[in-house]
Amino acid sequence: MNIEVKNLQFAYGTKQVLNISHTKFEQGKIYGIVGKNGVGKTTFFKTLTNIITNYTGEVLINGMSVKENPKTLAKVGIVLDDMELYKNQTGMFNIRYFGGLRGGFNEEQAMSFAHQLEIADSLDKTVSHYSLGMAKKLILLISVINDAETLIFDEPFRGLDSKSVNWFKNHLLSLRDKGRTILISSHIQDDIESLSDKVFVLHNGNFNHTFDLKNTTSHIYSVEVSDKIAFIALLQNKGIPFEEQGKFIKFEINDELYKELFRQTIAREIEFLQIKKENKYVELIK
Amino acid sequence: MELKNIFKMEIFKNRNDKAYIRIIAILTAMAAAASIIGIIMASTNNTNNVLIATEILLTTFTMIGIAIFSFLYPFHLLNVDYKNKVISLIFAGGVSRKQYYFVKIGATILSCLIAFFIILFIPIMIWLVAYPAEFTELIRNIFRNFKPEDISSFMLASILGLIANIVMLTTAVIISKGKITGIFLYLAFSFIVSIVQGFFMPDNISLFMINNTDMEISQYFYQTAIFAVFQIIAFTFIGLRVLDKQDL
Repeated sequence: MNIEVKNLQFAYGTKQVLNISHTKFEQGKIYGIVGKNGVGKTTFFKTLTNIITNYTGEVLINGMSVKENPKTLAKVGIVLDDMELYKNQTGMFNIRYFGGLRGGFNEEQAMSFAHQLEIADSLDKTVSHYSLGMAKKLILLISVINDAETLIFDEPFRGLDSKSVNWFKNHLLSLRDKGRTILISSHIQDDIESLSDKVFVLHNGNFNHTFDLKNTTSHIYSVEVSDKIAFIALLQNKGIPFEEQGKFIKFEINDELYKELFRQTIAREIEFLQIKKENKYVELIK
Repeated sequence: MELKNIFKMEIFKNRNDKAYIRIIAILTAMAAAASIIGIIMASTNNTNNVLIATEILLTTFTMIGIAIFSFLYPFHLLNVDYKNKVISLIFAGGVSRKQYYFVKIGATILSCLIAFFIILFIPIMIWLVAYPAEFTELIRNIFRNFKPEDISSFMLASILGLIANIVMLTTAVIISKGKITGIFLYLAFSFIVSIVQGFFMPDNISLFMINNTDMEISQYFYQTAIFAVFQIIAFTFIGLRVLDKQDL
């Protein structure tokens, strides 16, 4: 499934939240959607899935407007941070209800996922008795049970234990390899970097910057060294622009050049006290 | 997303609503008990004060219970998705808002009818089995004063009136996003509807209040039915328009 957004504009009252001229998400890729708090990531996801319809512009899935053809969303799984389930019903009821609503529900497969996420034994309990993590697992499970072709996740791993996070990350990567389109937003840098092929930075309502994580070899390094003056001299000698930030020296460099720099630094008996490696997009969301 | 599928899942949800199924069971048991006590009293000419008091109390509570239930149950069925904050997940799953609106109304009406059938079926059957001749005579007497046309027009007005009320309640729930204020909004709508009805159909009020018109009963029911149709159209338009533009 390809998702295309054209001239999307949405405002909460007088506050313009989204103003996206054109963006396309292609099949078979995982997209990290990042931005500062309150920038409109959740709102963007809501416009993609008809939770918000009061916008101008177009959201197209495989060329069809989601507003005019909501059926196209039957193959889209979504998890938003503020999403809830029927609290007075059991986990199993929720799985059967939302699975049945979308159609093509396979209970056997759902149970297999439930075992993987270790909630199978709790499915006969009412959701009101679930912990935050269990409820999150159940929502994640519901999002994937209908063999969704597109998955949209807003902070999907918040409240999950590390075992479930790892299982789900691997599951998402396998879905990506099967040609699914996945959009994910997270404030945890590692989630974005371990999953995403591309990162879209939402700023001032638009995706002004995109980064191809799979083909990038350049990173931003912040290092603390035992001999700052000698290290700066080395950087200057190699023509690498840098910036001093307190005890740290920050510079952008490709991975090959970094290895060489590292070797030469060690050879000059300069010690690395701290090394922080970040993707370039991180600068834009700090 | 097939309409049939949405309807099927809506009914699935309603029949798994354990809290209200318990209430239906309690009301059914109360109505059945009131009928059994009534039959015991009628068949034995029992004048036992305790039995009479029990019967009066049980019948009163059952009727009050059914009256409250007849309002709260459809309200609950209509607002359960908003109250649980799952409505966004429903729409994100490909359900069209228009389809949701009509399915919700249809499923609510059907569920309410089934609930009332269950509650009233046992007491009616108890009376029918215990006093078949008297019960049949009672029903016959009720209908004796009406012409066939009165009955058909009454049925039409009742059905359309029921639909109009559920449509009005649905619109109130949508506007209030499932909050309890929806009940007050519904009452306000009902008040406005009564005023409008009184303005356009003054004869209908005088028919019952003063009883000095030449209007046929069937004519009254037909006018009520026509008014209900306008009510359905108006509130469907408002409800759909609000739902269509509602950000969740």
